[in-house]
Amino acid sequence: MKKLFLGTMALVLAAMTPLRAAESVRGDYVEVRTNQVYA
Amino acid sequence: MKLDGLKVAAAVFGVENLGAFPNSARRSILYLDSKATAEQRSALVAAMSQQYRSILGTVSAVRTSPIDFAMALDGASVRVGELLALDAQKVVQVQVFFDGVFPAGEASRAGGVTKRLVHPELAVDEELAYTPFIPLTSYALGRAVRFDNTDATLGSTWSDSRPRMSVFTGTFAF
Repeated sequence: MKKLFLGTMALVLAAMTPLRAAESVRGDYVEVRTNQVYA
Repeated sequence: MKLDGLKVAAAVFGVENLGAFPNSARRSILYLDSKATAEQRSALVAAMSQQYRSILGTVSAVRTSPIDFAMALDGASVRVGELLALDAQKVVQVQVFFDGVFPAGEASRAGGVTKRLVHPELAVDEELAYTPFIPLTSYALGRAVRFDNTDATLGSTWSDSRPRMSVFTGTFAF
C-alpha cells in the first residue's frame, strides 16, 4: 500500500500592482490537504 | 498590466507527505482565471512559478477555467469549473510570529523542526504538524467539509467529505 499526498491551494490576487520588481502583490488565500491510499 | 481580482488555483500531488517533507518531489496543475487575457495568464504563470517553485514542483499542466473564490468570516469556498471544489469552515484564528506559528489562546510547540498547532477547540487528532504551503501575513485554521477533484490529468481524482482540520485561510503577499 502506498499513500498519495494531495494539496490544493487557491489564491485570489487583490490590490494587485503591476508585476515589476519591488512592487508588492497581496490577496486572499486558502489551502486544503488530504491523502489517498492506493495499492 | 493590471491583474486585480484575478484568481489562481493549484493542485499539488506528491508521494511523500507534503507537510513533513516540504522539499519533496511533487507535480502540480495550475488553474488560471478564465477572465484573464493571454498576457495576464502569462504573467500569472510567471509569478506563481517564481514565487512558489518548491511548493508546486513540476508544473505538469496549465488550464484555464472559471474560478469562484468566496472568503467570509466563517469560512471559504472555491470552485474551479467542474474540476475542483472546496468548502471550508473557519475554526481557529492563528497568530503569526516571525519565528513560528501559534494558535491564539494557547501556544505550544513540539520539539525538532515540527511546529505543532494545539488549541482547545481542536481534538487531539486534529492537531496539525505542518504550516501553510506559503508564507501568510495572517491566517486561520479551518475544517474542510468538502474537497473534490475530478481532474484526472495527473492520474488521481478524489472526493473527501470527511470533516477534517486541514484548511488554512489567510492573506498572502509577495
